[in-house]
Amino acid sequence: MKSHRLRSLLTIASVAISFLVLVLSLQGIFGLRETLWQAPGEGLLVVVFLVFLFGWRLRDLDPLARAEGLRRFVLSALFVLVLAAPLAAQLPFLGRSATVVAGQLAAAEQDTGARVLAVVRGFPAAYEDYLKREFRLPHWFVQLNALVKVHLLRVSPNNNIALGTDGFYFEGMGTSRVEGELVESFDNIADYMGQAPFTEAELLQWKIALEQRRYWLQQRGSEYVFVLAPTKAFVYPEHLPASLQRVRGRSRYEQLSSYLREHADIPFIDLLPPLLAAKARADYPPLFYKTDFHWNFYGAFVAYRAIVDQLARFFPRYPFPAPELADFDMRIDRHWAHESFMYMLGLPLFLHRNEHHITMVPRPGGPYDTALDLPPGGIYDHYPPLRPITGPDGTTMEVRLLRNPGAPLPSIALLGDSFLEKCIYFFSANAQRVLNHRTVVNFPKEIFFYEQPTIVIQEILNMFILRPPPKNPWRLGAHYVEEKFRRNADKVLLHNELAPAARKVALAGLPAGRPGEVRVAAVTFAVETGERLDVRLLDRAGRDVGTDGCRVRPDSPVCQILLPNEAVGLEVVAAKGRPPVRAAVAAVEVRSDVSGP
Amino acid sequence: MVFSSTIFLFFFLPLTLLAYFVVGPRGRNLILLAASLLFYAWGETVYLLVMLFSIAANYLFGLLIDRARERGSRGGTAFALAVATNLGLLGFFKYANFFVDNLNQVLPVLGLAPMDIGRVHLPIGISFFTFQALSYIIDLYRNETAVQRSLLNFALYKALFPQLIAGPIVRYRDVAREIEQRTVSLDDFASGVQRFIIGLGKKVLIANVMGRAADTIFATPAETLPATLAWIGAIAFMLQIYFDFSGYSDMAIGLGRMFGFHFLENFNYPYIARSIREFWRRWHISLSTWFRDYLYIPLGGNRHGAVRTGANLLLVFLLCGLWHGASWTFLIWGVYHGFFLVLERVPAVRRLLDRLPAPLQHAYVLLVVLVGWVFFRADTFAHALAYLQAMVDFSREPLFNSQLFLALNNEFSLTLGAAVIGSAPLFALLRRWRAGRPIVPAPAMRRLAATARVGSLGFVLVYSIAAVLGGAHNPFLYFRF
Repeated sequence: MKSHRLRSLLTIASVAISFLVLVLSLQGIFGLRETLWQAPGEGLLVVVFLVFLFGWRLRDLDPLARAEGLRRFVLSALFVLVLAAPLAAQLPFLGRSATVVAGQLAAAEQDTGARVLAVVRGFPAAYEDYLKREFRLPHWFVQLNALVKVHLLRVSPNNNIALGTDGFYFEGMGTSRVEGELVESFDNIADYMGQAPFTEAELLQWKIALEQRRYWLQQRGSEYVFVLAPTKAFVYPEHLPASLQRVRGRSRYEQLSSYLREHADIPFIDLLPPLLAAKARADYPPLFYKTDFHWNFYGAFVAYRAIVDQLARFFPRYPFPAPELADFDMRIDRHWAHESFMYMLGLPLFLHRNEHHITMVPRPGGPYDTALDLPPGGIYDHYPPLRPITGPDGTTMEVRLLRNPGAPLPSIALLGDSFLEKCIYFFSANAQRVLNHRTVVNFPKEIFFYEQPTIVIQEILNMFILRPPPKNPWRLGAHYVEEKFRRNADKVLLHNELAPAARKVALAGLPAGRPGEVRVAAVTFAVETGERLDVRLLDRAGRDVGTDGCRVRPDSPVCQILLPNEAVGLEVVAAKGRPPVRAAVAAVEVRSDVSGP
Repeated sequence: MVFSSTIFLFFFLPLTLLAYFVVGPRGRNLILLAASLLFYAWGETVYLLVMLFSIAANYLFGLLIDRARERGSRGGTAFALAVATNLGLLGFFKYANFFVDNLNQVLPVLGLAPMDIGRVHLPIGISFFTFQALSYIIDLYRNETAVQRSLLNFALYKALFPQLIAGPIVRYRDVAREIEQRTVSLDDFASGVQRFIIGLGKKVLIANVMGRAADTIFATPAETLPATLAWIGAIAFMLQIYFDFSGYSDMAIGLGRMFGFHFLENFNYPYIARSIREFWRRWHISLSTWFRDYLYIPLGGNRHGAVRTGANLLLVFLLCGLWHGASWTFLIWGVYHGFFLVLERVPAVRRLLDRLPAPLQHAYVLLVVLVGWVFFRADTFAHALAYLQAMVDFSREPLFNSQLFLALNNEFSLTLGAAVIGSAPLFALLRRWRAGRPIVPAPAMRRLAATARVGSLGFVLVYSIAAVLGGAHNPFLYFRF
């Protein structure tokens, strides 16, 4: 009996020591330690806990008497250890967390009663929220989940990522940061299936937004180029999950690309054909990371060359040095792991060091010899430095800036996301100043107060065209309408002189709207004094299809407005809060940007 | 607080176990009661007062009934008041909005203004703890159990957290002795751990996966659902609700065992039943026996002829449906099952069923139950009908979208297979088959099998926690009852 009891106590002691070791290792490996005194104090506490729990309170404690008893003991010990260890490794969390949460809830109230009520009502939800953010659980739980899901069940552990074949991962259905703190959801899977098509109105909005940017920049002496970049799924569709490959449909990328090419008055570059051509030329190296959404630096080079080749075609008056692949040493690390992506997936890095990471090192004697800001180790994941650029009023703004005094063009501005960022250093061959501003879809016009680039290249990734079309600052809109009218003097759809002037005008004879068409109406008013008024645009049934505001004066009686294609009439009304309108329409001219009937 | 949440697994349970085993036998009930009230208050905050009121009221009613009995009367007044109070509490919190919403369909027709009582909050588990209280009161009134004079012990019976919010409905007489006096052996604790792990695995690894698919398919407009998808959705829900609820019951039973309580079983492989009658002997046993003992039998049961029996069954199951939720779909689901119970009592139908081969009997039960689950799961009666129509319309276009891509993946397929297998008592059948074999496995094989069992349970524990942490919020289905 005594020996049984002794053996039992030894078993308990060994479990307790194992627990202590586990707790200490959690602190050491996972940094769960709170304070220096914690480990010895906790160790004592958990030993006491276990001794009481198993030694004094459980009856018939003789785990070694039968094998089944030992197995049950082990299972019970495992259960207790797994559940108790994380908290035991962070004991001060209990007191600290409760104090912090209660304090935050109470701080929002004034009197004691309200504070108590706020704490009582709000504590559970607030505490669980705090716990989710602050309580650190061993990451190997998440890793185990990811390992089982990815390697055994062959599914992705989270919806943001779709698991393809041969180790490829693709964008899934999840959230992504757009601009600043704005986070939105993107259903890339629906897009692969062609189940998220643009409407005609959305495509037209894209066209208008991009043309607005171009015309505004041209007024300032800069050219604008729009680049559409495909995600990996379009370049490597054969590695998409089988169920997606069976239901591929026409994606937004394909829609927008063909629409802009056919209807938009902008230099437009679709990167998909050159990437597919590069892929067809050689299987290796791949253009994209398998375990990341981005193209690698070889893929970035292919994209860069495609852009430069098109720039030379769009702007033959400018020289565009076009480095070849032979101008670089391509160094490939075949045992690399993308840390942040693996963390997002939950997979352990040490088991997944099988990504091929490419560094492009410019060879001497090429266009990068005079580049000042190239990283010494070559072109890889390295952000260009932030430098100040100075405006005409002496104020400065910080942007990422590369310099190469030996390059031909004065300045290129690159607006885009992390995909275009990988191309920045390559552009050092083309411009003395290469500016980069990270933006997903917006147009940061404030930069152009400080810098007048020769060319502005804006890249938008396929994923970000899943969101609503971008909106530009309003000044771009006003200039756009005037410019659109001016540029299409040869495409007059209608010119009416009204005598007498009228407040309601039918635009008789306007042809039906055509896909991709933008119409602008120049309305000349008979006006005796300055007025602010609204022009209601009407369809065939007399319904409102838009309203535009105008400010007219006797010396400036013309107002130009964008005319929706379905508008066949207009009516002049008083602007909100303004006295009844006195002006009337004396003439209307409608121009289109589409030729032919 | 759900059993599979981080706060329960890593905070509440370890701390409660610690406190429970450190204080010793004298303080255990107090510790367990405090933990149970904290558990309830965590989810319901001020509505803990409803629980406390129910405890106090039923405790007092119990004493009054006992006192009346001591004075020679039956305690009918106290009994009636107790029943009215409990049903009133349940009726108000659970059915007031349903009643008013339906009344407001009629009032305008009568030229009256609609009523507005605001949104009445439904405290978690009120259906369970009310029925628990009623079982105590009724058993006491029937002299089938002794009164509990200790408020602490009575409160513990009512508020015991393992079974508080989703059952099983524990009858006082089943735990009366253990409330007063219990010990926890290593065997008990280990059995409890084992059972808890099985329940956690059922919930997290099977029910949640089935639930994702079911939710996605049921959220798709029924008019666009092709038949295959509709069947998949219905079967997924059928498995989800079983593994979710039985998994929760397993966890509750396991937790109870860890603290020295032995709750009765709540599920017995209901999907192997060969009649609806048998199904209800295997599904949510604590509820079906509650209705049998406290409603069906007092109504007369089957002692007053076929017509009365049928009426009793229909009424009992109408109320059973209503117990599940304040909605017409639950009500219809209950009546639907009542109808089949009545039908199976028709001699000709019974003879026909008895003559069917076992596979057809199983198929009949599964089909009836599956259709019933469509009513249970659908948002409205119209939705249920449209869904059932989708199940039999084989002319529709196939459907596949991003949501289905995520829900109907490899994990779903594998889990579906495991769930179908797990719905049957495979291990019990294997053990019986092995016991009948002349050749006895060698001790080494038996040890290996036993070690593999422990190893598997250990993996299920760790992987279930991993799945919870790697996934998202996963509430139980039966909370709002």
